[in-house]
Amino acid sequence: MTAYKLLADPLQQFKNGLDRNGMPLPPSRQFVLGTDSLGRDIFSRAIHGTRVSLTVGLAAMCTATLIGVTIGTVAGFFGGKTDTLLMRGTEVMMSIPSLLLAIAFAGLMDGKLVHFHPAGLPWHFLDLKLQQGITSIFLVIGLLSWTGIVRVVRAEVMGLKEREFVQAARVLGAKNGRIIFRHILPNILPTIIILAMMSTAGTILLEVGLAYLGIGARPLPSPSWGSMIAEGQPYFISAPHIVVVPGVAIVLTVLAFNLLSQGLQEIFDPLRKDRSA
Amino acid sequence: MNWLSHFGSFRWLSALLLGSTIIVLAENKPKAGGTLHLPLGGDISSIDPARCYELPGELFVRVLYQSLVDYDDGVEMVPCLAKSWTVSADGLIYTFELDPRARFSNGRAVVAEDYLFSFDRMLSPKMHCPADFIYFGIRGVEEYRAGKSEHISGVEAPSPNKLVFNLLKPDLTFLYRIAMPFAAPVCRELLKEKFSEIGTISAGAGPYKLKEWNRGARIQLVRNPFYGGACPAFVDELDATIGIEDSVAQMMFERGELDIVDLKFGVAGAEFPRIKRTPEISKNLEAEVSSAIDYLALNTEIPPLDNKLVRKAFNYAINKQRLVEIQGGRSVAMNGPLPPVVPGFSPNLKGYDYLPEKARALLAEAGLPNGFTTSVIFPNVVQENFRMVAAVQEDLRQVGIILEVNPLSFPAYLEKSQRRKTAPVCYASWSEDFPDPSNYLDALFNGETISERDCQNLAFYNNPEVNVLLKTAASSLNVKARLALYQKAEELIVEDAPWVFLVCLKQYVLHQPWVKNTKPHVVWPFRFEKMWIDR
Amino acid sequence: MLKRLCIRLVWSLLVLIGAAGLSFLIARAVPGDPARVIAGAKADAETIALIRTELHLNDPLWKQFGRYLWQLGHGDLGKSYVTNQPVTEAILTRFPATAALSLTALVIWMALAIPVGVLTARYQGTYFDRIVLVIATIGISLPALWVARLLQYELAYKAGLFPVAGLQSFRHLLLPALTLVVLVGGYYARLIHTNMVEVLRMSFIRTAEAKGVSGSRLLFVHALRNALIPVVTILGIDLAGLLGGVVFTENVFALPGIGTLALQSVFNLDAPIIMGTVIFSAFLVVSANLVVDLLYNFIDPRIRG
Repeated sequence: MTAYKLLADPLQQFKNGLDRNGMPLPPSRQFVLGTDSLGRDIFSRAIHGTRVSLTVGLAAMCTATLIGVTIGTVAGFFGGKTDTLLMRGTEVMMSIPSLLLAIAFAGLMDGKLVHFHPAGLPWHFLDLKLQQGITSIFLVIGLLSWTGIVRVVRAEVMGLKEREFVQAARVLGAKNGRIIFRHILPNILPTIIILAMMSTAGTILLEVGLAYLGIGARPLPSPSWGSMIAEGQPYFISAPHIVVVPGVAIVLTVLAFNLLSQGLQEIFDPLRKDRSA
Repeated sequence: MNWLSHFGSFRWLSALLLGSTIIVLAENKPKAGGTLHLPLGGDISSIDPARCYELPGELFVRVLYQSLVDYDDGVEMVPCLAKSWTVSADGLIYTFELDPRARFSNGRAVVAEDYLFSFDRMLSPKMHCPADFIYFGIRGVEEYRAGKSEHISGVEAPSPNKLVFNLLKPDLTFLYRIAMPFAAPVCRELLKEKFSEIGTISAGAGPYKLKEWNRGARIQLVRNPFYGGACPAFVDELDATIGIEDSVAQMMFERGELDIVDLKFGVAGAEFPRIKRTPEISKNLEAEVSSAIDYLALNTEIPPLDNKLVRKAFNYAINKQRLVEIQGGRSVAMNGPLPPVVPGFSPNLKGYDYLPEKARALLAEAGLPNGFTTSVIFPNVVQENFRMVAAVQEDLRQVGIILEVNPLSFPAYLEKSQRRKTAPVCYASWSEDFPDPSNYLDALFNGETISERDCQNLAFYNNPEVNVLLKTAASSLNVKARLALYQKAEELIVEDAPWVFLVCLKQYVLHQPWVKNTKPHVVWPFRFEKMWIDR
Repeated sequence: MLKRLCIRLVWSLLVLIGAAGLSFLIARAVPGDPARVIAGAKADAETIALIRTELHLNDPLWKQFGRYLWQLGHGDLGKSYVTNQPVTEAILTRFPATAALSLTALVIWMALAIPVGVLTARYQGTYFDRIVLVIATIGISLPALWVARLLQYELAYKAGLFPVAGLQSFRHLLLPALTLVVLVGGYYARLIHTNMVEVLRMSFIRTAEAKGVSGSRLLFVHALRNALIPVVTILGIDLAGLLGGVVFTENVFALPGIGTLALQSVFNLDAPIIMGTVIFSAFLVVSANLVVDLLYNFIDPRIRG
């Protein structure tokens, strides 16, 4: 918390933050990583950007995992027509480049109010304001990132379904819900965690892409790494540091999530362990 | 630094030396030939003279389809496809003598009938011409558009070389309207259908014709071999690559892949200070204050902005000098709605200085001592808008006005900004159709033009006194009295503060040393027919 | 076999209709009045109202979708609101650039990934293997647009090794292709690595080894052939993702492909083109999967149902 306080205000446009020509400053003693095109401190913006980018990335990951695991489990467990229907639906989603869909979705966010509350009841908390806030952007990204999770979860559930302990539970009269929550989900938890970490890498990158196109996390001017890159890229020739700093932050974070999922894979995946032994 | 970049700077140096010797020898003698490579940020939506109403498309359309008259290097009118013209004493009848040398790109001579055909085509409701209203002052247009007549009665061709326009009211801006590419002759034999968008062909009598247009990728023009008229072209071929971001264009230019770049819409304005510091580049920089203005429209129908005191507070709160600064000095701060290049601009107009204390006092006087929250919309296509809005937002925050920022895609922005009682504040831009105060004041502040949707008066500003002044001025034939009326209207508008008058952009063209005569014009940033190549 | 093919075809068609429905809904829900897009920034209200009726924009949504599907069935994707160009024409003129870029990139990254993947599988656990793993992981962690800008700045603008942007010649394709290689080359090297490791354990390889097939022949012919089959499948599935990555690369290097078309259409809110590009890429992915599926049937008879 103290470290946080030591940082400059990420929104403050410093009077001495631009040179005589109105250009951003290179790294100096006052501005450790230089200033951006409005004379704001890049270091504190990058730190604050972490908050926005990670919030969006992690929340989108949770959304995607929730959807992916639900659909994958239902499809794998019940099989038959349910499976076919769900998997074809998934295929529709997979056949469309998610970036295109995300852009189109984000186009919807123009401050419209969507009413979900039942008529006559004052449940306005159910209304969703469609605007380019953090909430809607993570929802959009989450809604587009679950397809990879479905396939793996479904395959695992199908495998587990045939195992002795599940069959035994069924013989003992356990209901479907109980089998899923007590026997199947706990057993695929490691896989889910690995998939979640992997998809976080994807969701963060997607947010960067959207922000670059001017449709990332709002409200402006609170920074996300993607919007920092977008704002800085006109200055690429004269002041490349504006773009390089948030870029490096993104690469390190995404790399961390990818390495984490690889590490977890090596710990959890017994099959792989057997193989490499 | 590796040897390749040394080579790069050497090439600059040699070009500089060579360039300067040649300049002395051949500065004033235009030379035909060569190809001009240039970048375009976005695609061109149409090259139909009846449909294209945006930059940069208009720059190409105006050399494919030349009109009767055009601007000289200032704002005086000179003949192009017309040889001469006369105006009747009451200002209602314009008679043009056509230049008999004028030829379409298929070699056929242009006759007065062709103008009749083109005006019928352009003003037909089937064409959806976005600029049709510019010509509503011609007699018979209303009947023609209502389907009551076959032709526009006010456009006549008494002989193949004579063209007559009859107006409803005197209008000193009529020649400007005729200089726009909408009024250019179109060759009927080259059209597939009379009333459909022309597609990827050209059918004009301009100095160029279309060679190839691969939409979204590249557009190439070659000289019209049959051209005859007063405004010929010199460069053989124009070759524009579409979809290049400005900073990328700047890189391409410095690597010699492009001959000319435009810094006007220029995010490459970000590179402006560096360009100025580098003499071998900046000596090839041409500048002109342009007619493009940026402003904040304050919706006068939405509280608390309906209160004049609050709107004045906005004006006092914003530091325009800083806006100019963050644009790298590529703009001029404005006191009123008219940019300095427009006739009738009054340098002594008292505007609003940067006085945040006064802004706070005005807010308190308006009953809002703690400020308030409102929101601004702006088009997300121009990166520089984000910076400008962020700077405005910060200034307003200092006086207690919290401005929520809402960037929208361009069509969504148009839809919202032009709908009544929808957007409290818009960050907007305007560039003129012709250099006359009416094109600003009448188009943007006339209360009688307010409509529920698709309204250009973004502040929904309605002052009966101003409306009367504008109406009287529009049909006045006395140049001086007319400008005085507009100046009076401007004073009233500034007092009512329906806008925050921000900045007027300077227009820059950066060219390689071998490209000559590239100075931007007030109305047209590029005039391809004036340029020539000498290498 | 024929029955299976028919079922696959019907499913593919349904997937495409699903994609069409999804894109239609999105395009209709996008803010901004199409009539306004057509009429232009300064048009008056009268013109706009006229266009609105001409486009049947006042019809109920289901009627509009029905009309759209009907036209789609006839291969007609409508006309662009902004340029009035037929959407099919727009897509077909833009596709060659995207295809050329993707193919160039594919050839380069496969030419790199195959030997690297095979060798890391052969020398598993060595430093070489570890380094490739790290590089591959970094590769998939890079934001496409950032890499594209950096490479453009360093290799084209500063060093002058490549043209900066545009598409005048084949040389202009190399740097964008290299960008894609940086982004996904490592990933494919790892994919080939994993599959090779598995194949190398299989009995037929041991048999061949026992028969005295030479080391490199064993690796690059016998084992690789089998290891590549799953890679091709993944390639088919990943195509959609690849098209997404191409968007930024094309944008930065100003290549006139499907990606820039899609981006321009989104900025212009040009609904017919948005829908067209979505349906077209769905079509590409679905048919790629279909082809991969059929190829699989020939290569690996075990999965013939």
